[in-house]
Amino acid sequence: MTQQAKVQFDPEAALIEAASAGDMSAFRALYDLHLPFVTRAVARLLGRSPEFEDVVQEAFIQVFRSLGSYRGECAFTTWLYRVARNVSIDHLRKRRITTVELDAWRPLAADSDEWAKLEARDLCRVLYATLDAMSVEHREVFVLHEVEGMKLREIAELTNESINTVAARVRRTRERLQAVLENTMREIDP
Amino acid sequence: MNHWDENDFRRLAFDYVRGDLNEEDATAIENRMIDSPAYREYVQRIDSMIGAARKSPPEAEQTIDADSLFSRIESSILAADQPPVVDSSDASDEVVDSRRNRLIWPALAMAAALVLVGVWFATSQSSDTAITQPKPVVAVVETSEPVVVAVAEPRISVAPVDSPDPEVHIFASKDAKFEMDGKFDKRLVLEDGTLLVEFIPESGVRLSVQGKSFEVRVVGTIFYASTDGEGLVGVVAGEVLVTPESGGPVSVKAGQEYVVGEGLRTSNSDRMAEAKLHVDVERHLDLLAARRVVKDAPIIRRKVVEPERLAPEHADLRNAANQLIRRGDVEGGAKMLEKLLGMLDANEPAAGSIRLDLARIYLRRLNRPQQAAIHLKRFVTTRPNDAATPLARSEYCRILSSGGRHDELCP
Repeated sequence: MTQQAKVQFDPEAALIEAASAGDMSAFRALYDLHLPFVTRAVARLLGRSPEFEDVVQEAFIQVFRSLGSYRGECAFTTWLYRVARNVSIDHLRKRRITTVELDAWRPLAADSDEWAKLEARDLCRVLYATLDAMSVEHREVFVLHEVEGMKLREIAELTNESINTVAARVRRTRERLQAVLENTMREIDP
Repeated sequence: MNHWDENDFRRLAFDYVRGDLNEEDATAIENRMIDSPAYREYVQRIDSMIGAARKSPPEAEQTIDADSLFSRIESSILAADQPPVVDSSDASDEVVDSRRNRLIWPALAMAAALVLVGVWFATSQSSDTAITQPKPVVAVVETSEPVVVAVAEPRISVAPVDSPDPEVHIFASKDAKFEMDGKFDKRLVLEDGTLLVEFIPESGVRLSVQGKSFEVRVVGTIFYASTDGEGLVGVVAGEVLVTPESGGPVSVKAGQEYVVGEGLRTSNSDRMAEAKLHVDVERHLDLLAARRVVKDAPIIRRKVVEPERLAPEHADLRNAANQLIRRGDVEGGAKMLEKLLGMLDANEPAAGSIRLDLARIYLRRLNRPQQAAIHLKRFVTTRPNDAATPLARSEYCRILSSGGRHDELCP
């Protein structure tokens, strides 16, 4: 019995092909599809940053320039993530951090719901302020592991590092955060 | 039985929050949380911190204007692709104009939300360009909203001059030489000196500015430019597209300067301070706000036949929402509009208008197409005979389609 293969139309693949040939309309369609994904990926790596939008912009420019190299070996979003990640890390490496601002972290008078939201927001700032004071490599693995939820093995593959190195970076970053959290708790409850 | 010290407990809190601990270890952590309120708070803080980071910084996502961003991306791509212009033959100009037009219209479409634009504007002291034969290098600005235009050198001294056009307020240096004409397509030609220009057009009026060595297309709010050296454009607020005489358009954002021949850099602080001395940003924002109340159009410009009447308290709420949005609290403004919508009869014309405003805000400002779709669908179903319904349906179906979904409203 001969099994007839079904030819399925993949609209995303068609858009990728057209965009890689320079079709700006197709690229716009890809952009619309994946802007939230790239935005979140960059936001998680950078935290609050005035250059956030510039980095997203640069990521998409790199995507456009590199589309021809995408061969479909992995999901398009995986490839997209790698591009966004590389651009973000380049940006972080160029950025010079001279001080770490933790002043934003202050207990505020508010009702319990508001308080929880404010505290979560401020703790997020504490996290990124702490990460700002660490190397890009530490920051990346911590975000990938703790925030993105990736496993150490997956991060090792993505970053071309050994699992031991990745694990050591996660551990070191946790220790730093642990110290920061303990200090901030002491400020509230001396 | 675990024999962990305090440091172990604190270190393992991260694994506990991740759900990576086995049952025995997790129970040990939980018991410790019961025994020690301080430890419980510590674990809760880690959970809260990581949870907030997982949601990603919301400020970042909310500030993305997808159209504006794509316009800049496209500009950069095309700028990099654009071959150098080496002669001024008609054929070459056509190629360049075609590329520029592709950039201009998306950018200008995006500038529909623009109410106030500042440009500070000057030429070099030694320009020998004849004023009667200007070099076509500076901008075309099209917006239905007030625009301030200025170009300047780093240090300038300007004073107000009697402008022949009430829509264009001009401040000029002593040595400035310029001409202006046109009613709906205004044309300002600057031969020499420095000008600060405030452009407050009525709907459909355009201002074309011709300078020496670059072209400025307004995308955002306030910027300055100078022919100092090879040319320089800096942005005080918002963003602009700059097209130098040779090369493609470059997006310049607040706090940045584009130096022709060199590229982007951080704005010179003296120049920024100087710019703010001459352009009263707050006043223009107020002006912008006043114009926006009247002119800020929803995503679909409606031809409403039925009168939109709001009770005073509802009108106050709508104005308050608009004010919040203008001040940058788009989320707060949207919430207020949602609240107002809940107070109105679904069939009221004003409710339809607010739905379209909300759709625009969710789509353009908050990057939440699904929420925009909810309002668009509601608009289509409650106002089937409205002039805006076909476009609202089309936009609704486009959003659904981009998410791979379908609705019976969509053909």
